[in-house]
Amino acid sequence: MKAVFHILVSERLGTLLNSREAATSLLDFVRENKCSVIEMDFTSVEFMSRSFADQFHKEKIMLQNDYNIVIEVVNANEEVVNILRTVSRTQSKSNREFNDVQIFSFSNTDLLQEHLLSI
Amino acid sequence: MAAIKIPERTSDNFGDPILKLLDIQAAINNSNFDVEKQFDFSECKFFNPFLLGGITSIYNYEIQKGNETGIIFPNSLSVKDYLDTIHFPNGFPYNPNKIDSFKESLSSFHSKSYIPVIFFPATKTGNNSSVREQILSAVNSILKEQLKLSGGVLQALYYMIDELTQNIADHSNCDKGLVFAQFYPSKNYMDICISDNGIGLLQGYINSGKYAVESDKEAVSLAVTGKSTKDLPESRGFGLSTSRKMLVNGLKGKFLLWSGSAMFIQTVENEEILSLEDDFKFQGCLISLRIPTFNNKEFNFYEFTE
Repeated sequence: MKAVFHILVSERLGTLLNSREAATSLLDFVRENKCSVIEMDFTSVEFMSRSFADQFHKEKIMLQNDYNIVIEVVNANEEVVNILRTVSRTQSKSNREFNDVQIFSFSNTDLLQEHLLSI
Repeated sequence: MAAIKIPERTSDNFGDPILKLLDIQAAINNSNFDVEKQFDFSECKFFNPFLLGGITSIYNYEIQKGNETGIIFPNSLSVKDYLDTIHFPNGFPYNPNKIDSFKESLSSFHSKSYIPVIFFPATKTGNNSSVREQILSAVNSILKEQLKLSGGVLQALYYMIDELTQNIADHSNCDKGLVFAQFYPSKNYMDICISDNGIGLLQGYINSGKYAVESDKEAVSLAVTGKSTKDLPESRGFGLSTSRKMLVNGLKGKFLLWSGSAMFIQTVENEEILSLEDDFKFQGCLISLRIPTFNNKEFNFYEFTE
């Protein structure tokens, strides 16, 4: 059974995610708690900047490649989902494997609905 | 009795029928197994193949499990007629021992805009492989007539249907698969639903012992990246990944695969996995394809075949 670790982002960083440093500090915390699956819960997060998203995405890929840690994005609102999608598209697609494809999950049905209707 | 209300209609949005299907699956999963379930179509006015194909699959799985399950047909006669015409919920009838006449019996569909619900055999015993081949050949022949496609785009359509139905025969461990499609000429696309109620991707990987897979999302991610459960030469095992790339990157369509509690969705803009709550668990595998139906001259079929 793979160990799952749940992180409520707003509890650690507040509801506005702006800087690269904040993203790094979040993922440093992940490194310290080496679980194979991390549920990164974005409940209540209102804003994620491009810088934060870019750093988050880069380090997420590094964690997957170096430590085989999978980060799942949980309960992100559509704005957060969109910025994460945007930065993911800017990554190099050469030799692309599945480790840079986002995994989203929603415990909130309204967010799941909003997400599916955005496809 | 538990009545599962089927929504009146769905929008053209790719995700809308899937969302409604998730609600239906959750209602089924959360109802007591010993309570009779009725799929209530009384208010329905419009169906999308993703929704109706999915409901057909869920309904048949309930029957297969021996659960008391029924249908409340639509109040509207024309809507009920449509359900009869597409042979919902039991599928187009055929005699496997007289399969040579199958193409002929489907010939009336050449001038329609849909493929009826068809259950094809998924086992390889007896003449099942040949029956499946005949059925798919008939389906392909209808698609060619209905869509007026040619060249690489038509080849791609044949390729995807063949690979995705072959996967059911190869991996699902169940006795039948389902195909159902509706063409929307004014919108220039066709929606195709292909599904089975087999063991699902996760169990397939667990049984193969080839990968340490513990969740539906991991199994889905392996499947869509071409990591087969079978011991195949390097050139095989790519049907699913090639099909989705061909459909989305080549034809600019949309692709969705749902197995257990995970969904893979790919559009031109995004590709992602949705990890769903257990309430939404689907037994087997369901694939939804939205295929643009114009002869895209820039599309090169051979660019995608591996």
